[in-house]
Amino acid sequence: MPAAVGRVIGTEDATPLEFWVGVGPDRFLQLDDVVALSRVLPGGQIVHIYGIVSQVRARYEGATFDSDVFLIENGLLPAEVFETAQVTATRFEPEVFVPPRPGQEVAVAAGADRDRALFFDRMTERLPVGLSRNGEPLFVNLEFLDGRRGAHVNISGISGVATKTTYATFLLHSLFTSGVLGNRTVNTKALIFNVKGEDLLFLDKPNIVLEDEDSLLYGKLGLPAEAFRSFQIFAPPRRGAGVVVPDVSSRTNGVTPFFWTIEEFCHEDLLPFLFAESEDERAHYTMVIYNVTTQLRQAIPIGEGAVRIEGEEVRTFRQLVDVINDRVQNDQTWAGPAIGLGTINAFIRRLAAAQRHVEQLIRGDQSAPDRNRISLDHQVTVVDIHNLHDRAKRFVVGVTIRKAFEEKERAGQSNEMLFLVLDELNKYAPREGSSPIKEILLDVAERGRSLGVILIGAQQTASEVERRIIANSAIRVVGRLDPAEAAREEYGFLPSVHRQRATIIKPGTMLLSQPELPIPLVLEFPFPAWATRASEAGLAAEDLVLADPFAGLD
Amino acid sequence: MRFSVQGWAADYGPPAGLELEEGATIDPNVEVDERQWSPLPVSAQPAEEALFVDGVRRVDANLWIESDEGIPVLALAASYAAGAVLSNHKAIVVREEVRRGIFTSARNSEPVETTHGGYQVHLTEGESPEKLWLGLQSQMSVLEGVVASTYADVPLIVVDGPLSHKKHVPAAVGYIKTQHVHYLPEHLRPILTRLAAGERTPLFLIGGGGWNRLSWYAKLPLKGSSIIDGLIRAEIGSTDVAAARQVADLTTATIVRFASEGHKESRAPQNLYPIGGLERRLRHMLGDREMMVRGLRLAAGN
Repeated sequence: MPAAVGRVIGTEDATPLEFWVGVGPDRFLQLDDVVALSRVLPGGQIVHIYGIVSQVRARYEGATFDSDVFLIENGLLPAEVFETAQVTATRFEPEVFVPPRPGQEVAVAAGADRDRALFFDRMTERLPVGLSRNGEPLFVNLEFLDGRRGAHVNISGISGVATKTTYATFLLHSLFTSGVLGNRTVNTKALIFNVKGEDLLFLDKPNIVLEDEDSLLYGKLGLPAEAFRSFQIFAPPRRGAGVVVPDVSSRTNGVTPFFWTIEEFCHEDLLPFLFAESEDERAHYTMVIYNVTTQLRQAIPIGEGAVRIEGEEVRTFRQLVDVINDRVQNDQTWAGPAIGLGTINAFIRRLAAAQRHVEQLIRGDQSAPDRNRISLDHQVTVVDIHNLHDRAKRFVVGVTIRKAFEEKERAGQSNEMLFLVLDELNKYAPREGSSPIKEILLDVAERGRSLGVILIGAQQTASEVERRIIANSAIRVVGRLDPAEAAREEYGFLPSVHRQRATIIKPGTMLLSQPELPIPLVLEFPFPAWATRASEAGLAAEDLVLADPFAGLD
Repeated sequence: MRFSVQGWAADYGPPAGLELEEGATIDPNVEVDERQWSPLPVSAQPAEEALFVDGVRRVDANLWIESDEGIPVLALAASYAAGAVLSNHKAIVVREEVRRGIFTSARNSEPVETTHGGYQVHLTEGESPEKLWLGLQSQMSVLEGVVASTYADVPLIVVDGPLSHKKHVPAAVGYIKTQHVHYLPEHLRPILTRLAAGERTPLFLIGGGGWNRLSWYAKLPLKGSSIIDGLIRAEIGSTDVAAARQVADLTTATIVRFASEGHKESRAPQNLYPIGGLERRLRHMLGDREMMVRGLRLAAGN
């Protein structure tokens, strides 16, 4: 065992869960240090006890009053500074839960000892998830991510400082390049929704501001410092344009505009996803939605994604809305029996309100619309929805995830995994109410594990997200938290010291909790090796098209 | 040796009047003619480096030792310690010595080993509780002297209490914080009430008992104090007046700096900060009394 850093003190209780270590002269322990000690039981059996430093304190011994500090520093009163570290035990080997005895020597665990303390030795397939403060790699047991023993990742933290999306992409990078997936790497896909800004549109561009020392950190993790290789972007078409052009301002090439045809909208029951706000579910017109959805299945395809409904040709969403309005008011089989006029009007009002937000996404006016269907041909697919109205965002997210999920259900094998990255989970699966999107996300959370659909969800506040989604996430990650939020029970997996730390940690630092470890790991992850904005991608000005200054103002 | 531990606590204090010496003579004319006596302001700079020596003692238990004649004889089982604080921009406890002893007049006494340490035998001259206490007191003073003499090169050594048992430490200043005995003749005593903070009286010689020493009173600063508060007496085991004057000035200038305040020290300001801190430390080093009693009982049973 390496040289002792201190001894177990006996003035605070030493328990199998937690004990205090008096730090020796000229030594120090810092938060998150991993320590080890061995206790010999009567009979000769040796119990190895491992733990992580969860708090360190220094105080004057010999001082009685706070103001004694001045007497001591002026050389009037004798006193000594003494440091003690609180250790939370992580592992007993063998599992004989005895406390360490006061006076026992404690050493900083390194190498194999450290791996044992953090259960890394038991992980046959381990995914690098970041570096500890002293630059050593930290891992997650893949079995708790790929569905064998658990699945799903949930990331909480304040926008802007918590670096949630960046960490989610780092996890994907690690999954795809660490080799932990073995031969499953080829068929594993990731679908990322870009909900804010355009920072996920450059994942395939090397980051030109990446420094050599950042690359070194990737090396320590055994990962290449490179951008995503197999990558595609789908963006919604620009509104009001007859020709479909992707509605992104910072990137021109390699972006495919996406939309659904009227035919798909009718035949694949997409109408309910337009009514995905929680208030919609409580209203009476839900009946109307389902009746209309049933009627739309009768639409006859006439090519290029257009349909004919009861003799009328429908090529645009506007035309579709007109047809639906006409039918629900005049044909009882569309609205349903005994539906009041007020309910029908409520339905029409909402459909009309949705129209201007989604009409560019649902159309039958383009030739060869198959090119514009969201497909998962590449390893990483980004669907950009940041420019869309909330109603349209919900529609895209709901429909895309349902489709991906249904395909997985059909394929029925979890060997090819699909990682879904979705920020602002509170918007799509709020704690209160119910909506088609929430249902689909719950489905992913509860059944996705066996199908190989893994959700990497993120939100500012876990307290506003459906409990079952959080509960089903085996890996929980926390970035900088709002102090009021950190006090909520959703973060019960964080010991109190970590809760406090969560309110002060800097960007690039995360707390990660995984089932095998009783306390969260504090990790840092390297600066992204891929560009997260146009400037980092080294794109010249001519590569950029000027953003439409009136976009969104109609 | 057969002995038993007395059931109830041994907590009587030391006998009063320790400073009283029979046949002591006072000569107030060594520095200033007694007709000229007045408070002397001190202009010396405080010492850069000073050593404070102090000791603590505690009776752990009263023992009854069975003498060879089969008569029980009283004994004190006591723990005592002495230590030193070196103050040189920073106050550091540089030495701490802990001893345990059995103080008795029973000739057949033997050292007692307990689970928490051994007690050495110190034979006393009498068997009364006062004599036993004096034996303990003098052993502690001897230990203080041992500690003080290892730092003889420090410019100022302040030893808590009179110098009677520390005569062999050159240049040590005895520091007496409680005034039970009047050393000055009655007509000079009013000067004590006129002393301002940081002032001292002229030196006076205390003779008799085969040992002469020079002494003076000084006043420590104390807010809102009565006229007698903050009065201390110091002494040095020398009759060289010129040298003593310098030591007296240096001591008075220095201890003012270390005077404690009432809300921090119950014996403020006389109990200087380093000495208060050292006493706490030494008492702590004596260990837990209950543990020692338990050890003694176990040893008695064996």
